[in-house]
Amino acid sequence: MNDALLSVTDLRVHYPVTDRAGNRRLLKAVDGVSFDIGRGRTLALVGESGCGKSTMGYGILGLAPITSGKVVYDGQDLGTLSTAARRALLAREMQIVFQDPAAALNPKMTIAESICEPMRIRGVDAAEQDRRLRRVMDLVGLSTVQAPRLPSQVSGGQRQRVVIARALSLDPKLIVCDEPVSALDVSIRSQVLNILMELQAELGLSYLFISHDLSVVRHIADEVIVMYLGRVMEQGPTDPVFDTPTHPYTEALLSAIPLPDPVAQRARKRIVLQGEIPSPLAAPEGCPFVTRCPISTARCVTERPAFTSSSRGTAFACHERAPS
Amino acid sequence: MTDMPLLAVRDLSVSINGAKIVDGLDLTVERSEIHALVGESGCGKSMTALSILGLQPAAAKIGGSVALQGTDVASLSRRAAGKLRRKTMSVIFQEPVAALNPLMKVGDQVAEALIMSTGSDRGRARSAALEVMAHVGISDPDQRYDQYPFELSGGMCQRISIAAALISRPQLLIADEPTTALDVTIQAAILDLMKALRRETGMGMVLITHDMGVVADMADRVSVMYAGRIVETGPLHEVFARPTHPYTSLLLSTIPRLVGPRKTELRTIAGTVPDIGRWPDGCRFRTRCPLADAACGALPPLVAHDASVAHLAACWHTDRLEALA
Repeated sequence: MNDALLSVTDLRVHYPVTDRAGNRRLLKAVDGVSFDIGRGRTLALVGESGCGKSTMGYGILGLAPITSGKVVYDGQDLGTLSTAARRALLAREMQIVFQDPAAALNPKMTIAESICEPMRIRGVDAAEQDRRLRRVMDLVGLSTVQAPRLPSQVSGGQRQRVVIARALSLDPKLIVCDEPVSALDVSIRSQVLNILMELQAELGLSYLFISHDLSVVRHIADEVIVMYLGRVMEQGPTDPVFDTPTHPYTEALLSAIPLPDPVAQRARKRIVLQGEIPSPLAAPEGCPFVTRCPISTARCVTERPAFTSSSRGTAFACHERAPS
Repeated sequence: MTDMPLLAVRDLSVSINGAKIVDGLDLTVERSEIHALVGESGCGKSMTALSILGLQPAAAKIGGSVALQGTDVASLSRRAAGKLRRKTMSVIFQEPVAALNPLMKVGDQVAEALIMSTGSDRGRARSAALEVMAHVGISDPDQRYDQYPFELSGGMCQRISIAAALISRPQLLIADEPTTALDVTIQAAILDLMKALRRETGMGMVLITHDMGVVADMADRVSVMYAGRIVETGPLHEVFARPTHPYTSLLLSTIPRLVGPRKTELRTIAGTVPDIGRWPDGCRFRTRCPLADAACGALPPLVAHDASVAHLAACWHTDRLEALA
């Protein structure tokens, strides 16, 4: 517990909104999530649209307002720091890699300017900027020949390398990766995933890896949190979550992924969920998954399931699967 | 008539401003067959679909032939070709919300598809729309009919698109990345729906996707495109069990899997996809292919390399594929 780089307890991000009928409502984008990320480890947040996985990442980076909960970074409770001190700490220690590199880069800035911008803002001197520019470009496999080019003059995969190099320029310890390969072509994805894994091994980085692609997550993550409508359905080490899922939502999610192997894919049975993901504004009172769950009972409608530990080191929130 | 394939595309080429986006493409779809066209962005798969539908951009120059049940559309007048296409084919696009008219009730959009293709009257089209909406899993079609696209989820909008595509009972469905914009549990439901509809109606399908999992789940035949050309085509199981073109083989081996080792270095394909229309001479994959040598300066033909006459690949070095492992 103490050696965790980041420790998050019961984090909530609630937004007051006005619905179409004009009523004030509370949108619970993230509703009570707890986890630790160890040094040099990868924690993945998975789930479908609207599950709160991106909001969770933004909340930690200070880009979304935290309603309640505790965030402890490297032994320091961020809630006890002044706003200025917290911002300075976050900017020094944490960075983000976004999904769409074309949108994350200023089209009018050269690759070198984009990578150096965080250093310039922090007042790093020119000689040091140049030294670090060379280093981070080398780390992500970009040639310095590309430094004076514009984002439009390099490929999508290379643009994502630029975004990663920029995130590395201030030597962060934690990088929030928000769907870092989803916008990339299949043949480019594995290049970028390899770079992320190499950087972690070399620099001891920790990743909060946000993705809807479970095959990618299984490959890269040490631990996984499966979210649905702002709440955690199941969480734990990657192997037991993927190999022996306990929560019916995790099971359905895994079974829904078509395997790129016709023999295996056609031999297995897909759990097809009924209905749609409810609007986060209309999230059920009890278990959020109750409207689509194949094994739900009356109790699941009214009573929010507590976390139960499984014998395989995972935790899950399900009345039906909890040992009675 | 009956032994003619539903769709026979021969030597299709599409050029825009001198850039050859699709080059020498053959594609056949039989009744009840799902033929997957797979490839990365810019490979020409969507332009192929648009050309089959006659929806290519005005600047596009088309070569080759597209025959629907034996009738070459180029042999018909513009009007007659359009009529034949509307009667025979329907399309589903990737972005269901963008494919629908935001200012028109969704039910009317489904009904309009029938009016456009058969000239049916409004009353009949409405009842047919309600029926097909229920059939594609839209609950409460009576109530949904009067809603607008923004009131529905992405999955529900895609069901509306599918209903609009199916109401005219097409023999051929062109589905361009039909589930790419959807969440995985919704994708599962839509793929099951498309399979059920194929079973019930005997409709053939061109399924365009970049997702090898979707191909493995849905297709009977698969054609792999790279840089405007088909590099490999064959029965699904043969292509997956014995990929014969280095691109197919590498593409399959780079995908992270749900089984097997984790945290290992993934296989990669060196370099990047060439810019559209600016393809290398000879074999277009040679700039990224680990097997490439001087022979690859000549364009390899798409030919059979093993006992199966239906499994073709365009590569000079299929005998050296083991070197990729």
